[in-house]
Amino acid sequence: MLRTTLCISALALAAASMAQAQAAHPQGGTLTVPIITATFVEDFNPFSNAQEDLVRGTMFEPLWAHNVMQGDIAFRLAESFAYADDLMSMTITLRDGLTWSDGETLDAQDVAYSLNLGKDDATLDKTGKWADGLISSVEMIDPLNVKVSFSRKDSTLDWYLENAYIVPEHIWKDVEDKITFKNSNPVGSGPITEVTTMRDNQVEICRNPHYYKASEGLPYLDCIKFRQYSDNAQIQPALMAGEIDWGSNFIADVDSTFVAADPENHGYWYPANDLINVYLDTREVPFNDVRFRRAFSMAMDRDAIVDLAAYGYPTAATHATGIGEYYAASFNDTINAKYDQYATYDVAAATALLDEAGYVDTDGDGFRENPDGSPIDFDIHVVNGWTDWVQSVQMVTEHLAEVGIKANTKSVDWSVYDTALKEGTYQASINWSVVGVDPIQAYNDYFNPSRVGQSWHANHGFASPEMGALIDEYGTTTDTARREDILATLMDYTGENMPFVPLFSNPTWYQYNAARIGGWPTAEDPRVQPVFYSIGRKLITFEGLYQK
Amino acid sequence: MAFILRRLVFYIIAIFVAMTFNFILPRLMPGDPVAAMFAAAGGKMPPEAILAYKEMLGFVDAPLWQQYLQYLKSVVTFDLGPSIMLFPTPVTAVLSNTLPWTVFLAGFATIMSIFIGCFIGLYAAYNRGGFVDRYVPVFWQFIASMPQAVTALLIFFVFSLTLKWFPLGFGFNPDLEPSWAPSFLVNVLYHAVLPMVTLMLSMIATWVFTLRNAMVNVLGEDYIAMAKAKGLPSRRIMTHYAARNAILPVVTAVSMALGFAVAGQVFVETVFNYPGIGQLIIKAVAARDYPLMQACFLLIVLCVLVANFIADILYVWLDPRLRT
Repeated sequence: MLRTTLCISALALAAASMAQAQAAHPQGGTLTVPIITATFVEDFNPFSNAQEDLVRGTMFEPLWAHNVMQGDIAFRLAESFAYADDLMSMTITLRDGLTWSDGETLDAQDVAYSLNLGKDDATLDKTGKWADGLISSVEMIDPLNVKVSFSRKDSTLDWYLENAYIVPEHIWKDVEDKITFKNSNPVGSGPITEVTTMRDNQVEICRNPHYYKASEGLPYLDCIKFRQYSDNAQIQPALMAGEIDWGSNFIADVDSTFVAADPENHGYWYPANDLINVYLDTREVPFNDVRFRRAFSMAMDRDAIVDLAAYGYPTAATHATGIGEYYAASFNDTINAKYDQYATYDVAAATALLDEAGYVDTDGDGFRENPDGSPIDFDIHVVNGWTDWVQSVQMVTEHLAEVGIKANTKSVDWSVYDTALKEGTYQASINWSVVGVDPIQAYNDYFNPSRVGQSWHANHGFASPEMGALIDEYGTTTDTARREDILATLMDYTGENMPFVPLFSNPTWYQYNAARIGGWPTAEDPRVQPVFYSIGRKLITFEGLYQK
Repeated sequence: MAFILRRLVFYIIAIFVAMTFNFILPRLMPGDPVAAMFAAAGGKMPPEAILAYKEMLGFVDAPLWQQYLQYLKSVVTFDLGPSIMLFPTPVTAVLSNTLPWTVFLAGFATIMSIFIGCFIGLYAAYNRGGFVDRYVPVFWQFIASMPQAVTALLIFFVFSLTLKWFPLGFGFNPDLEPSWAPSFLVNVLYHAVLPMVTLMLSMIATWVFTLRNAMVNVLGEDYIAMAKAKGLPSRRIMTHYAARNAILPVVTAVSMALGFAVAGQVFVETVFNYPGIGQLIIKAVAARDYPLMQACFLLIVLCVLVANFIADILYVWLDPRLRT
């Protein structure tokens, strides 16, 4: 008896000291962030797109947030979730004792209410999972548990549910038109909910008086000051002058403009985001020959493209298996090793492969012809005005010319580009790939036949029913070993067929000013991908910040 | 009176034509608001979200003539509907927040440059061949011939970014609560200095030349010789005899300038992040925000036409020959 008491008090002591260790930072301070808009309006409705950046994550917390960089899930309003054994439903368990910022209880009633909003009105469905027919019903089981029922087997809903906004039923149930509702006196669940300043050029939102993590001393910062800027060009000088603490913008020559202005405190970190590929229509000559596609890829000097066309900010692709550094945690070394040679700059190998495959210069114009003698001359599509991509494609054509392939940069209007990619009427086209929670989302867009015509990444000729079936199976199992197998098969399929040529991973734009605020994620402390324009990653980043 | 009526009919027709162009032109531009938003988001938006968004904005694929009738009705009733990029804020609310800034900036800059420019023009004309007449107008012409975007950026770079004498942007310090307190008004003026100077630099030359040339003509008239012969002081001849008659072309120029002042603010407001109409137009065009774009352009057209109409009335008052 005595022993158990001792144990418990020891535990309590340990818990107390842990709590103290976490509350190492005193509360106080204001974070200043830029928002690109013409003017602020008094609108704190998360469902209308007007000013989502002001409220997402920090005013309306998600149930949980996937932290892909750390490979874990940060549970927020929810304590856990569990799929039923038959994968026909999911149960969400909330934290005990949650309250709204007006002091009312936040429980399963609110969660069920919020998730049900999307049922009849697609504009309120931020998960997209009512619209695609997955969710069949959402109901409260008891004040802490919500059951989401499916119309088919599924084990992926948690990737999408983190985008759902949980709003207070006691306020929203009386709102007639939820999209045009201004929500001028917002009631939220996040760390900052109280609007203290509302002007055309500045909005300040401060500490939630009823925050559920207040006992842990969170949030450290008192307020966020959102400042209006009309474009990137104005944010750069403001960052240099130290008016902004957290930038998420393209800054020209960041080292000599931003960092040099205050080397002690100004820093940036551009971790990899989505992988950029040149998609090829493999139903067309000469792209129907995998040797040609591989030679194309080997002719690319990716480091040079990254340095010259994009200021060195992106991360050059090194693997030919369909995913970039964003999903580094999911790389499969064995399969990567099989195909890495095809994503490595090697003019000699590219030339040799083209020669061997019969692509030679028969008419002596300096460019190779197809084996049947017809000329090779194709366009690579890029969107008008997307300058870094236009420059990248120009370099791609130069590298192709180096191995004797004639290709042209063709900048077209978005609508032309969009249609050509979706309908498969392009020859070659530069485009991104899907980044989300799980690499399968990228493969789903590459190879699932149901995505052909819908997505920009599927209509290259290698979408296949077998791969589609594997992808669907991935989404209906929780068996991690089986999932790894499926991913390996898809990576192998990508590497073997190479329906697109990987170039580089886009950077995540992120600059910080440590003069007043500390706790920034950095390459040395990569606790989260610091994306301001998100729900969960913004919240996790904000939670670690403190006044110096 | 008949003259005024004739002009009035002309203006009504002009407004109608302008309104029609205003409707057609944005729709001739490639892309639509959803595509523009999509491109701005770098494509990271699922197709379901696009559909939902279209529905939210109430995109009706009605025939063009129906959209046109709807548009005419909305203009006449001043119910311009919600802006797309700031949905669901009404266009009228957005305009009423931004228009005062532009009127303040453009109005002050135009009036100040008229005074400065006319004074220089007057002086130069009366002392023909003197130092001022030879060099000052040329200097201002040189300044005015630089593209406004370049002048604005140069001024911004030197005085805001490098010397840090003036703020980097905004109509007033965002940390201050707007009020009519003197300290706040001073802050507003402080923030308006650089944009105003930039605008004035590009405008002064016009006034110098308009008034100087008109004056030179007038000074050749017989009644000036007569006034000189009477032995009137030269200052009196300059202001009461010459300038009064040389003012007619200036009135035309002023009305044109006031009309175009709103449109001319685009570069300056963008560079200095000034919260006016000029900057709003750029944002609205980029977002293909048809309702807001139409409202802005309509406003510009109205400014030009109203200013011209006022000039017409002033003419009647200034020039007795038109009263018959």
